[in-house]
Amino acid sequence: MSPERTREARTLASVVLRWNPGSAVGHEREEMELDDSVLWARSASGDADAFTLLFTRHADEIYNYCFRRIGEWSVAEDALSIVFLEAWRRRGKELPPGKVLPWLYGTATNVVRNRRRSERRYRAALSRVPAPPSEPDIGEEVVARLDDERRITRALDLLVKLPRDQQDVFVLCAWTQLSYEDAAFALDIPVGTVRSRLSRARAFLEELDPAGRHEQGETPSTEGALER
Amino acid sequence: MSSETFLPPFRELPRARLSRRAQHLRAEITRDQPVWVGRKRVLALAVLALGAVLLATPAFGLRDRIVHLFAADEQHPPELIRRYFRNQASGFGPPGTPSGVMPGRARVALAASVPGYGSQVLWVAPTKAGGFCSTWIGCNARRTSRFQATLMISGPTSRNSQPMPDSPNVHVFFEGQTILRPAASAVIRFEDGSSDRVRIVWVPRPIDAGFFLYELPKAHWKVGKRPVALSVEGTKGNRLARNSAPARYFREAQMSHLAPPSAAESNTTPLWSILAAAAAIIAAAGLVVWRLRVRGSGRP
Repeated sequence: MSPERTREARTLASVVLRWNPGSAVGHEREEMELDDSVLWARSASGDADAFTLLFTRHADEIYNYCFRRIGEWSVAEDALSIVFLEAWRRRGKELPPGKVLPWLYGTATNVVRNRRRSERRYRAALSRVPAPPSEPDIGEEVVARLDDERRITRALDLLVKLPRDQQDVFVLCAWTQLSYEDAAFALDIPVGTVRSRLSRARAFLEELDPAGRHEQGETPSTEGALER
Repeated sequence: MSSETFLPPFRELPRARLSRRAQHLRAEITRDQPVWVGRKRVLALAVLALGAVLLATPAFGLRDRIVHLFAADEQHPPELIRRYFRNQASGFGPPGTPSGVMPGRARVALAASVPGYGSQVLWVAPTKAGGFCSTWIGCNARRTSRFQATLMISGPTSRNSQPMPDSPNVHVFFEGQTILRPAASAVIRFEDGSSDRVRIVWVPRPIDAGFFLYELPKAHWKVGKRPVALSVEGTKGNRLARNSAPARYFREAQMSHLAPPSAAESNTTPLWSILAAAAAIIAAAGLVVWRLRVRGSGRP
């Protein structure tokens, strides 16, 4: 997490502390290190601050995942909100320790897959997103994001040639670097199925794109997925 | 081939936007908390209401074999039903007096499924005078009759459209309608002192009347067990009105052989019993006589 994000999280954590009258001020460090599972459990009991902290913590992962499934940054931002609104709706679900983020990926997969239905369900909520403030127009940033969209469109053109279940596994494992176990949890399928689908997807994409660019990214860790 | 990578880099959501989205999310989830609960409550109430309607609408008269369901308001009457209502007399005044019925507003009030018979559908239509007409009984155009009931005999018919009483598929029904608001059930009393009860299905305004359908069981076609009268009772069992005409119609129909025979059927079993008993007595007497003759002849 970037320093700015850490500050954001600290602010929200202090809100969590204030909200819980039983908590002492000296426990702020402990609150800061709260595990996802703890935040999820608090969210399940209706703690909106804990859930907002969870959002801040994982917004970027889900935002990028949605972008890589949809191909437009602006739509991905709305999808991000929908994913967390949907997660809040299903906050009663019990999640094993360490599986909150994989489950959020699974929720995002469903949101992206049923995009129209999700947008229809949360249309009213999305209409209440405040208008963007006058941000400085950073030309380079805009150009870079446009370039992202052009590149991901080409990747998605290739991806859509796969069966849908293989698309999900491929994006989660190869593009998002999720472990097989986490991908299996996200998609609610056995690990063996993840392996076989990923293997089939890779073989198919190798035929279409022998250069292997379909798995290339600018982050070095992407290579890890290729080696698995 | 270009060496350009397909996948764009991982990018953070700009801080201002993230903050705005976080605030929005928090506002929505705190705003939506009671809404979700409200939706669940509405859903639960809807399920309860549906259950109540399903429990309230069945008529128990046909030994729980009939299911009555209100039809949707959007249901429009077919031309046959409209024509039927247009031709109905008013039920008061000289014959041919227009009933003032509004055929276009006819609706299915209840539909009954009778095993071995089929379905019985009741159409009702309001009249301009505040009354109603129905396809079962006729018109109560000015709401002058408090309780009306009639007899219907149905089943296979001969070529001249008369019911065939000997057929096992003949069904006898009592149909009734009442405008007595507290009426909850119709009671059918029989010659042997027993009675049976059927729930009245109330149709709301503009009809504002209750209807019932009762299939007379074959056990009550026999002499000594036939119906005597019909009455409507309130929820506490207080009698509100009584009508013996349909029971009289049934007995008359039996006498004129339009309804299933009662006397013949009821005599059939005793006659066979008498014949069987006589045969047994004769056989026993023959056996005794034969034994006496054998003894008289000196045999051991």
